[in-house]
Amino acid sequence: MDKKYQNRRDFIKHLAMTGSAVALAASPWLGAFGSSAQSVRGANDMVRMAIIGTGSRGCELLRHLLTFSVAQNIRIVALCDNYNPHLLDAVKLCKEKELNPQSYADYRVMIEKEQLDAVIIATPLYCHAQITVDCLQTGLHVFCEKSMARTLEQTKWMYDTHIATNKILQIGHQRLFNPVYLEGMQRIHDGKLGTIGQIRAYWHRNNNWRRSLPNNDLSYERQINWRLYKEYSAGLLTELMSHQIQVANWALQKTPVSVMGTGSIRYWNDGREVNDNIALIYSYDDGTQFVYDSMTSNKKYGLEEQILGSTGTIEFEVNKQYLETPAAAPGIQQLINDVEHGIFDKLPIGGASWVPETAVNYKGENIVDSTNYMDTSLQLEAFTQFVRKGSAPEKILKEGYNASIWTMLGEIAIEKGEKLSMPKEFII
Amino acid sequence: MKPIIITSKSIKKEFYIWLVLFVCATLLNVYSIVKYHTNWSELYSQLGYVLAISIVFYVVIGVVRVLMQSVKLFKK
Repeated sequence: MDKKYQNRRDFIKHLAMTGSAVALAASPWLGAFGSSAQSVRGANDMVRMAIIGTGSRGCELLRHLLTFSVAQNIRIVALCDNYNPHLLDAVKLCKEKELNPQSYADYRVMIEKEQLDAVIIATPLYCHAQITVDCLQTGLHVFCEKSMARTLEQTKWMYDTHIATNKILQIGHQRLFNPVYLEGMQRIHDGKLGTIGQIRAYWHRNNNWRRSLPNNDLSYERQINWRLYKEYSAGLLTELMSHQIQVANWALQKTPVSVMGTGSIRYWNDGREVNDNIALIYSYDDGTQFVYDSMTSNKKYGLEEQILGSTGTIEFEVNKQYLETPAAAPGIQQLINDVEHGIFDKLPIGGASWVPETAVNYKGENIVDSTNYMDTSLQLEAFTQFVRKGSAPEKILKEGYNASIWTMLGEIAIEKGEKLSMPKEFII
Repeated sequence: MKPIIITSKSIKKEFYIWLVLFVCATLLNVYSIVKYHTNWSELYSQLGYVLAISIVFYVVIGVVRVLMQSVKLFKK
């Protein structure tokens, strides 16, 4: 949380001031986020929340919530985790703000005992579905971290329960609330990048996902290192790629028709089950390809989503747009450049007849002026508003659902070594 | 040490020299607009560049003038 918190009002004001109000109107979730439509509850009524799963991500969400909980009249009523050190970390964060929520080791006891409006679920992936379904069926609104669930069936089960209970289910794809993405997506959807031929995305890290165990007690191995075991996680796919397939689907306003891929344990050969090195290609019905790779043994290129259009390129993570034919520099500057080249450039004598087509050396323009927003805070604030209204735009959940389904299909495609399409029963 | 007296006449002379060089730089801007088919609004939007070029010209001319004066003094 290295950025200064700017709330929903600042965010909407900024969008309007920078001419991005069109993005606001065109994004159904943001439209609802900003509107003053009739709410089930008063705009200032207290929202009673609990957090289930207070590990690193759960505590991060708690920190974000605490930045605006007073201003937004949110009361963090309870915290729940079955691993006590994590629970104590979250209790400590609350105590620093002079809050004293109840602690639970079992979420079922918590939702039965406490008067809650909503829960935030940040447990390991394999627990998402059961906890979400139980909470929705108890009448609670749910914010669940991405990726949505561990299997195709669980993902559909969560969606169906949301429909049956008519309670909010929001999945934590924070880029949906990020001004850079909102403005960039508007440009893509307005055709300013021309025809999108390919979307490339990658997430490269050079770190070991294995965490140390308390007192080296191996009985904690699967509880602490759940990300490394297929029973609980699909590794790079669910932890990282699910964010980026969501961006690709959002950019193209459609879902893929097929996926093929490959993966391996290339570097971290330490008994883990999930791949540390994956590459996938998703195809869309118009011929667009989403080309993806992720690894954990080299971080030079970090992460990026590159939208490659016939007239321009967007790189979201660095807030940049590049035109295929950038505007020429002013004449006087071109003249000076030419004179400089004439004086200082070496004359090639018998040089290579072929010049390598290396990347265009052009720095591009910023998509938005200010990136001083914390999209995680904005999405949680939006969730609070949705809870007060009693409903959220379905588009948000559909983004999370399709990202989860296609992430799972990517995993199956890698395991089977086949090109897969979406089974009909999972189409919503 | 002999005091250096800068007369208003010499200031005017230097100003006129710079003005001529500024006009030259502006003409160079016009030439580059025509040559590279860029926008005529660069006549004012690139004034900063033109000003900088005129100063560079003035410094270059100044060096040449100092050298010429030195040669003259040396011949005497």
